[in-house]
Amino acid sequence: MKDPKNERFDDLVSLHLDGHLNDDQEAEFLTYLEDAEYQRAFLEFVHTDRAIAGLSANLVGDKTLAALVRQDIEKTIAEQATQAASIPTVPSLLPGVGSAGLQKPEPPMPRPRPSWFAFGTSGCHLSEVLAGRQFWRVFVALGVLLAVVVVLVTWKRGAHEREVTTADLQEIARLEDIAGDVRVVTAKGQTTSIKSSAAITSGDTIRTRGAQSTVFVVYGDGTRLTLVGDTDVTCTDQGHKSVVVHQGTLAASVKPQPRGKPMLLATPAAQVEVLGTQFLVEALRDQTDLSVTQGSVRLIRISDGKAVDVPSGKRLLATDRAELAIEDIPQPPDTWEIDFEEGLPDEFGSGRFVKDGPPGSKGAVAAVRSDHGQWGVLYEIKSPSRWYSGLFAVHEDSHFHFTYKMDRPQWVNVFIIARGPGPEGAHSGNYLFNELFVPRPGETWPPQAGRWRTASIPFSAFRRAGSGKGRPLPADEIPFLVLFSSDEDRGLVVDRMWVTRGGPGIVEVKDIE
Amino acid sequence: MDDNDIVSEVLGGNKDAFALVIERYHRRLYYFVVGKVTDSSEAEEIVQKTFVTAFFGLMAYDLNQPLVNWLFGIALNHCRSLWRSLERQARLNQRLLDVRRAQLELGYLQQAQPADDCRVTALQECLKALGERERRAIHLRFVQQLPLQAVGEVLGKTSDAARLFLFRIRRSLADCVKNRLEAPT
Repeated sequence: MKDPKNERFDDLVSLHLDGHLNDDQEAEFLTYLEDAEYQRAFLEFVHTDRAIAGLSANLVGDKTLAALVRQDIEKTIAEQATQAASIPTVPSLLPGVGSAGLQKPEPPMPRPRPSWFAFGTSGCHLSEVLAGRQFWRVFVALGVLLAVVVVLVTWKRGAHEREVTTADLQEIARLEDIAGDVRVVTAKGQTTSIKSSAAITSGDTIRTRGAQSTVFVVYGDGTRLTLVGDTDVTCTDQGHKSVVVHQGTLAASVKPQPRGKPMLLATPAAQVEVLGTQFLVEALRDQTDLSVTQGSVRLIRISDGKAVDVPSGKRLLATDRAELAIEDIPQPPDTWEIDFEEGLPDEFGSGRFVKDGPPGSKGAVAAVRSDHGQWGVLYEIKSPSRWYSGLFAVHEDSHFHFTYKMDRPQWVNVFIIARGPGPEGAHSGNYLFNELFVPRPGETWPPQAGRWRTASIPFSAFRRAGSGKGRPLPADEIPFLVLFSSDEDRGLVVDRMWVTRGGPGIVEVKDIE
Repeated sequence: MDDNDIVSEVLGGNKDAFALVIERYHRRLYYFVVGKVTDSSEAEEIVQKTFVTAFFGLMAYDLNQPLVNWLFGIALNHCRSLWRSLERQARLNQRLLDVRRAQLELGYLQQAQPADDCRVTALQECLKALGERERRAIHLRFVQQLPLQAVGEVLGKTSDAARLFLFRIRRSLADCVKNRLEAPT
C-alpha cells in the first residue's frame, strides 16, 4: 500500500504544477521540500514534466533560430559600437555622416573573435544575400572603426579607462504609459522589466516585445518617442539627443532642438537629423521607412552618405540599393482579406493552421493558447501586426466579416487594435465587439456547436475598451491588428476574415448551409 | 565536414559556416535544456543565447573536446544564471516556494554533467509504452494545451479527476524515465 504521506505529497506537487496551491498548501509543501528524498522526487518529476511539455512545443526551425542568433550577434556588435559612440568626442552616431565631418578611418583593430558573419543562403535570392552581406560588412566595419577612433582619441587625452560619469547616470527621459512587455537593458547589461513610469539614463536600451506592447519615452523638453511592437532603441544624451533604433517601429514628436544640436536617430540603414518635427520610422536590418507628418526631416543613407530632405506628408524608403525617392505617404486600403487556403500568411500573429473549413474551403486558422503572465492564459487568433502601414482604412460604411465555427460556443472578444494617424496620437486603442453570442430574434441559445457561420459587423458596433471606453472607432484612426480572444478554449476556427465598404449596417450572423 | 572543420572554417573567416553548428545541434541542445528551466520558451531562449555566446567565444573552444559538450557547458551556465535571477526575483517578492525551488534547481545544476542529455530519449521511449487513453490525455493537455476542465470534458471526468488522472500519468512517466536513466547500459 502506498504511504499516505506520499499521496499527499503527490497531490501538492500536482497542485503546484497546475498553479493551484493556496497559502496553507504552499506552507505544507515547503515542509516536504526540507526532506532530501522529497526534494529528489520533486526534481525528478518536474524535469520529466517539463520535458513532456518541451517535446510538445513547436520548436523553431534551425533557419529561424539561425536568423535570431544572427540578429542577437548584430545587436551586440552594434551596441558595442554605440557605447563607444556615446563618448562625447564625435557628435555623429556613425562615422562618415552627420555634422562632425568625415573621420579618417583607422585600420580595424584585430579582435580575438569573429566580428561578423552571415548565415546560409537557402530560400533567398543570392544577389540579395550578397548585397546584404556587403552592407553588413560595411556597417559593422564602420562601427568597429568608430570604436577604434574613439578609443585612440580618448587614449590621447590621457583617459586610459572610460569610467561611468555622473552625467551617464542622470535621468535623460522617463518611460510613461507602459503597456505589455517593456524592458530596460542598462549599459552594463542589467535587464529590468518595466511596469510603471520609470527614469532612463544615458546608454539605456528600451526593448518592447509583442504587437500590443508600447511605451512613451518622454524627454524634459516635451519631445516624445512612442515605441511599438518588437522594437529595440538605445537612448543617449551627451549634450544632444541620440537614439539608435536597432530594430522596430517608433513615432517621434520632437520639440525644437537647440541650434547646432539636432536630435540624431540612427537605424541600421540610415541616419536621421531632426530639429523639431513629427515622423514615423520603421527600421529593419537593410531598410528604413520614414514618414514625415509635420515639419521636415533630413535622412542620410549610411552606405553612401547621400542625404535627402523629406517634407511633411511624404515618405522615403531607404535601402542600400534603390534610389532615394520621395513619395506620398501611402494610405491603407479600403478593403482587406485574409483567407487561409494555402496556410497562414507571413508574419501571422497567433493561430494554428488547420485543414478545415466550410464546403469548398481547404484551410482555416484555429485559436491557440497564449500565456499573458499576470493576465492569465488566453486563446487567440491574431492577424499580422501592421502598425506602420495599417491593415485597412475605416469609413462610415465599412464592415468587418469573418466565417467561423466553435466547438464550445460561448463569449469571444473580437478586437480591432488601431493607432492614431500621427505621432501625437500614435498610442494604440483597442476596439471591442463581444456581442456575437447574444441571442438575436429567432435564434436558439446556445448556438449549435461546430456549425460554420459568417458574422458581418459594422465598424460602428466596435467600442473602445479601457481608457476612453465606449467611444466608437474614429475614421482617422488606423487599424493595424485584428484579434480574437477568449479566456477558455472554445474550439474557435476562422476560415476567412475580410473588410468591405458597404454591408448590412447591422450585426448579422448567418449559418452556412 | 566534422565539427572541428566547421570551427576552423568559422575562425578562418567563413562565418556562414556557423549556421551548420546551429543546424547540427539546436534540437539536441533544446532537449538538453528543456527539462532544466521553467518552460519550453525559456529553453528556446537559452539555446539561442548559447549559440550567441559560443559564437563570441569560439576562440576559446578547445578543439580536442567534443563541440557538443562545450555547447552543453555554456547552456548549463545560462541555466544557472536564469535560476539565480529567478531566485533573486522570488526573494524580492517574498515568494518562499519559488525561492526554494530555485535553490533546488541550482543545487541540481551544480551536479549536472554536460553529457547528461538522455532524459528526452528516455521519455520518448516511456511515452510509447503508454496506453491509448493515457496518451490521449497527455496529447490533450500538452499538445492541444487544453485547460483541465476541457480535458475532463473530453475524458468524461471532472476537472479535479482529470488533474489527478494526468498527474498519475506524469508520475508514472517520471518513474519510467528515472528507471531508464538509472538502468545499467
